[in-house]
Amino acid sequence: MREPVLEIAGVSKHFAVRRAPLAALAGRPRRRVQAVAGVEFAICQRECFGLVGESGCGKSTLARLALGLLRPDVGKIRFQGEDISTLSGAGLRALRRGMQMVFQDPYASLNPRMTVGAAIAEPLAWHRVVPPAEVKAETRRLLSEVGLGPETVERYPRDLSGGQRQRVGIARSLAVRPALLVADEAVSALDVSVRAQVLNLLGDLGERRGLSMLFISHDLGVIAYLCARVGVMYLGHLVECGPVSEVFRAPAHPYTRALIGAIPKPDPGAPHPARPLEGEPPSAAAVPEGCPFRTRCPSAQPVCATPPPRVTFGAGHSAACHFATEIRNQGAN
Amino acid sequence: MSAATTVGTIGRRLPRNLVLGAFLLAAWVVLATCGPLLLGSPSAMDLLHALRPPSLTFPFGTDNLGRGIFTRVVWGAHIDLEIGLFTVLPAFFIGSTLGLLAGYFGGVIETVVMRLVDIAVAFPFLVIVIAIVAVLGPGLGNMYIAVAMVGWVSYARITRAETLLAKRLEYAEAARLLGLPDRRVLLRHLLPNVIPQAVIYASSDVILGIFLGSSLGFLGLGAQPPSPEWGLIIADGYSFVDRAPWISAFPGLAIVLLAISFSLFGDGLADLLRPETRR
Amino acid sequence: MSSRPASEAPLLALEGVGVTVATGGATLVEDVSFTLGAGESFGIVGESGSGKSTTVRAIIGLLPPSLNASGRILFAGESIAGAGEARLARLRGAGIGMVFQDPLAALNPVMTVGRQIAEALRWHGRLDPTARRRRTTEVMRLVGLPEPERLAASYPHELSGGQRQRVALAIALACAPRLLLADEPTTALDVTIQDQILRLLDELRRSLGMALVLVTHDLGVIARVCERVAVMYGGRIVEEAPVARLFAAPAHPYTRMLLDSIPQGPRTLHPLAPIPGRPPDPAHRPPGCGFAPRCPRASSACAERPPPWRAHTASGGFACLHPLLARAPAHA
Repeated sequence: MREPVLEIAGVSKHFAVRRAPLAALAGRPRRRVQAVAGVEFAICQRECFGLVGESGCGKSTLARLALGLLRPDVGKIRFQGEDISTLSGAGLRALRRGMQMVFQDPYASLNPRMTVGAAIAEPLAWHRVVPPAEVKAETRRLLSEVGLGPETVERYPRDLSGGQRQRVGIARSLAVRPALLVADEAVSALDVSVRAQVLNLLGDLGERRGLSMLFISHDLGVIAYLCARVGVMYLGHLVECGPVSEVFRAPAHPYTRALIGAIPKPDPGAPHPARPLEGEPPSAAAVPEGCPFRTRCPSAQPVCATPPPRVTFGAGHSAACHFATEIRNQGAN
Repeated sequence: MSAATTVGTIGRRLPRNLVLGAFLLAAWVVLATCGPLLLGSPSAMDLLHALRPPSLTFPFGTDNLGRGIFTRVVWGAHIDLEIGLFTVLPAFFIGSTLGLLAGYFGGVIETVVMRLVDIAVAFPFLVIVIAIVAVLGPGLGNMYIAVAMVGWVSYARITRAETLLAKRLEYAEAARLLGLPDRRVLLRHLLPNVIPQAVIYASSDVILGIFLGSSLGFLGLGAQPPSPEWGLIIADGYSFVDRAPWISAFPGLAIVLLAISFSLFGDGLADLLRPETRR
Repeated sequence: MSSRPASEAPLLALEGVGVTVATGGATLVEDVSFTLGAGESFGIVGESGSGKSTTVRAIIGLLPPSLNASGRILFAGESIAGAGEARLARLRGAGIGMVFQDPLAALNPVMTVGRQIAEALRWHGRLDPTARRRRTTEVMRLVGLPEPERLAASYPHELSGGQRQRVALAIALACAPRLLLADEPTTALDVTIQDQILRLLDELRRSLGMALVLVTHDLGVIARVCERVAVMYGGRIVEEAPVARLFAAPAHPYTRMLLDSIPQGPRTLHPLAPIPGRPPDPAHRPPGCGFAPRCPRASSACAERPPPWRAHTASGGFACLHPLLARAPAHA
């Protein structure tokens, strides 16, 4: 495999929860929220890697760690081979050009007081992506690449629909010609028909520009559409990782199976999984010891109180479960 | 688009009270600048016609020294307009800057600024201003200094609160992510979105500034005689209020009308700036 | 519209219901009609701006004052359209319950959840405090909340999203309504929690014999929970059918294209052909079929006037001049 574009190596991040002053005086220990714990994966060139999980699983924190907006407590993040925590000055600026993000909320991700043209021209001019004389032309070119006409240049975000705003956000990220695009729930806030448009756009862009993508979503269907590989997160842990087709066909972790089974399929005749996932995810401030999923896992055994091993199957498919092999052999959905 | 259509289009899109308020304020400015050119001196005395009620020659009547109240009120217009602006502008700039920095950077800056705010807020505004003026000496200049020293806190609070909200929004994050330095994020992205609340507050603060100036004038701590500042005229007319109520009534009315003009403008500004329609 | 034995009066019937904006006259909902029998589950699916939420709020009189509703709405045979506040207040909670999308916004943050459920009982019932407490616990157990006695003393912000939605359900169900209106009840929830809540809704419907109107944009949810479904576009119902038929053989082109917009596998194997363009602006609805500007089957006739409703042979119907049917049904 060629050198990966992005490497997440054993990354952990926790946040300290503010204590009430009385608790601090009483000497009670500060509570920690373990947002990300020991996550490890890599994204290759031209690859779309999906990250799926429910709220509180740490995927958004991981996105911000990858982009260098947060520092990991443990582990390293390497972008194009370089450890991003060591970057500063020119190196940091190059990083900002190399990795960009598309946000979830199309309404908050654009400055309401800037025209579309100004929003896209700003990074172009700042990073001197093109000479000043060509900024306007490049802006129009970027807009047409995302399917918006040149008249959009003078519009303000409030005059655009959600789908259009999202396209503007994508055009803005592409302005600096990144190698990696991080999409954090980029289509979740869009209508179904608009979602399909933007998904196709992202797919086309990936191919045409040779972009790598870290696609974060809670929607497995969307990930299956765009991504070649997927990582499943639960309470900060990467519980399963592998090619999308493999993970869907034969999930090796009980949580992945539950997740796949819980998706309501647009097919009235489809059978419902016999046992739904009960209960609620525990608080991220009190992650269970050993396997974090064991409090809800239908296959939990006493051994699950110890940290599960990472079991690897072929084709880069791995899962962190004591019974990964058995779960996988239980077969397709 | 012809000029008339442009004006028509703009007029249709702007809130009505904004247009009305702006028009009134423009009228006041015209009055304040051009009025004095058309009238005689505000200090011209005519003892033969002292304490006369309103008439054709003296539309607002005369005071005890025979000075026409109308002339004095018109001459005083620019003073009170200036009072309104100069009490607000320094506080606005100082306070908004400190609030923006405190909200964006947090940490030591925020702690220092907010503790200063706490101290200033602990004392009644009018009392502090009077105390400072008493130390520095009466006069409008010192009043402006006194107000600037304590008036900035409201603006600091408002802008800090708005900045705290805005910096979490994705477009601020996107700007940082695009590699833009802090100063650019602050000035180009956060400031335009954060300042409207302070501007709206300023438009009503101006009214308070005018009242403050007039009150201090009334107390003898603001403008000094023979300045035709409205508060002073009211003070002058205080002893004659039973015989010649017009002396105090008309400048009082003028203050109210000026305050209404600013109030309409401020409301209109709030309507215009606040509902940035989301969908 | 749907064939129903004449002896059974429907529990809920809407006839020609419309909603317009008072100033300006923009039309949010136009000519919506459907019926619902006791214990049936009916889904309304559409994208934003389709008017689905507005329709449901019109049923229970929860429209903001800036909107005007018209048409007939009958609940248990009685007309409730334009009913006075007092009558609607009696109806809400007792006859008709409602659950919204955002449980955090629907719950009072300064009242314990137990009290909020009890409030619903107090308003509608004649139970004494002890009986109310008992019923509160009962209904909390019914919606699957663990340790009801302890949880009843919690505040909404102390609960998770799924638990809050269960509380909202409990409030809606406390007085055993005959009809539950649910507006995107699971959209804000995680997928696994959504699954739990949908199962719960299904179970409750069967055990309580309660009818359900479920509004959502998610076709998967419709397939999971609903027996019949209406597809709304541009303020109108464009198709209504039993769920199996809608998914297997939709008649209206919009339904077909909506189904085709759902990712079904990798892009390389199942590319999506998204619907071009955008939904119409309520203030500027085209005179003809609202979907015509985006429809690949549209003809000039489609833009002239809204297509008439055509009943389908089995049940339901559609409003289209060029439906996707192997054999077009005889004109009504």
